Amino acid sequence: MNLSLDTYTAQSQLAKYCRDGIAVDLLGLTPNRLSQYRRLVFNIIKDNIENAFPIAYKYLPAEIWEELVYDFFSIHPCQNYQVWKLPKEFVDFVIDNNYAKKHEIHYLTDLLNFEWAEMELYNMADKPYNYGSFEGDIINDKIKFNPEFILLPLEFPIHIYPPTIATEKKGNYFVLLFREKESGKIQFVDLSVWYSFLIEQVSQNDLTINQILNYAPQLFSNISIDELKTNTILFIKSMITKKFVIAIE
Amino acid sequence: MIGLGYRRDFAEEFISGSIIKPDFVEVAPENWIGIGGYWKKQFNQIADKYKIACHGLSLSIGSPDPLDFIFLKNLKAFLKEYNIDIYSEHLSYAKCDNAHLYDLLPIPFREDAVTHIVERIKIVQDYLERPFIMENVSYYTPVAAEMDELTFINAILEQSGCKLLLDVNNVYVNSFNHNYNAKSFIDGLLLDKVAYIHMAGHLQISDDLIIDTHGEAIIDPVFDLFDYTAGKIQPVPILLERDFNIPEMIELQGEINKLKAITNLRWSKKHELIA
Repeated sequence: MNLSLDTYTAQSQLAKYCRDGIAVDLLGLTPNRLSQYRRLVFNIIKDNIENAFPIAYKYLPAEIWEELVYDFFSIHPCQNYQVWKLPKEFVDFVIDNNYAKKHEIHYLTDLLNFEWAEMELYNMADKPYNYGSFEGDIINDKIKFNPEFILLPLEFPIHIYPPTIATEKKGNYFVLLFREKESGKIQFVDLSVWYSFLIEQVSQNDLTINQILNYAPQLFSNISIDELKTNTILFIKSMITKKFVIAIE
Repeated sequence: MIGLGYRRDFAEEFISGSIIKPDFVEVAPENWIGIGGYWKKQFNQIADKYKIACHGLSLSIGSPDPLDFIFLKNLKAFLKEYNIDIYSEHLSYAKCDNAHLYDLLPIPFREDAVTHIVERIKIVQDYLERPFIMENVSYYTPVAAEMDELTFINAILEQSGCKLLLDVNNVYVNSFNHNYNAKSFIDGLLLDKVAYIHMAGHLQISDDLIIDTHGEAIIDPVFDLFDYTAGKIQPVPILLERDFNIPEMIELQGEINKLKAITNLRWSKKHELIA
């Protein structure tokens, strides 16, 4: 680096001031102008985060929301050169610093993860999309999914209810988000633990439904495999209609 | 050629071309690298219809931090994918101490900063295998300056071999905010280095301060300064920036028409979008 310590220090102090607002004494400043930089930088961060999390912004008490954004802005060194990915850093920051517990907003982590998943999926790079036929057998042949999806486990059903209601319904929930190939729109599907397990196994381990059904007795006691098989076939057919299943071969 | 900054807010208007008729569009590569889905399809339609110029946000050429070669690699692939000739950036810094700030901070006008930036510009030019174009930015206070802005910009242009994106509105804004003569500033620049021009609106927020918002119409004194500048340089592409407070499309086309009328009077040669 060719910069002198003086020059580096001036740049570093300005950048630090923009983030934490603690006054600095820099050589040659025009009085009362430095605050413009902090205002401009903060507005970029604030607007970005508000736009990424419209539900959280709406439902969190204003003073808590401001605390999260201010803390994030002043403490967290933003890493991504693409500002649209900044909300992911915000989610990680809120989780790592236990704000949900501190403010007893139990649904907060789920809500931020859910809202970010929608944004990430909507914007993310296209994945190879291997169309195939539906000539195979649902139970015994390989099922191919739309590759652009996120499977999200949740403690609170914030994908079904407003946060104020979801917070009273703690449990084990799963939501599938996938991007429609043609329109680019995001679809949401509420899943049972079985269908979540099934999607995970098909996508990660390339198993057939029949192979996955072998695990059912370990997951559920008193389960009727025949009934589960019938329901699973109906589920897969519904996912063909929704264009999440794109081939059975 | 008169271009317009591409924004998702009026993407459909760009694609239909019914009211807005720019000769080319400019995009920030950071907003499009690695994007898929709906917006990728929209962007591909734009790329099919218009020649594209890139104007970056996060290279942070004046930063004390090392250059981000992952970004540069992605940028280079993006420029190649869309056959983009012009890539420009801001003469400022947006990252420091390993933290992005996503805005344009003023570099101390100092000799060591010139040396630092010149070295980095050469690295970027070599890596991207294309001429680099640096924009004069608006600034609201000098920071630890040891020379004036004009000397700083000219030294970088001269030593790095890069070209100048002359933002005429920024010259106007800086001349107002720092009380100097805008035309004298233009006269003092290495005008043979100008490869591209930006025009935009701004917002005066107090008696002595204008903020470069890109959220208002271009005011007449800035058009006048553009006319003055156009009389002193060879034909180059012109870009109208409008990022906020988007007006009716016909108003933007009116600004494009006004810029075109000035260049038609000043320039007889055609100005292609080539760096």
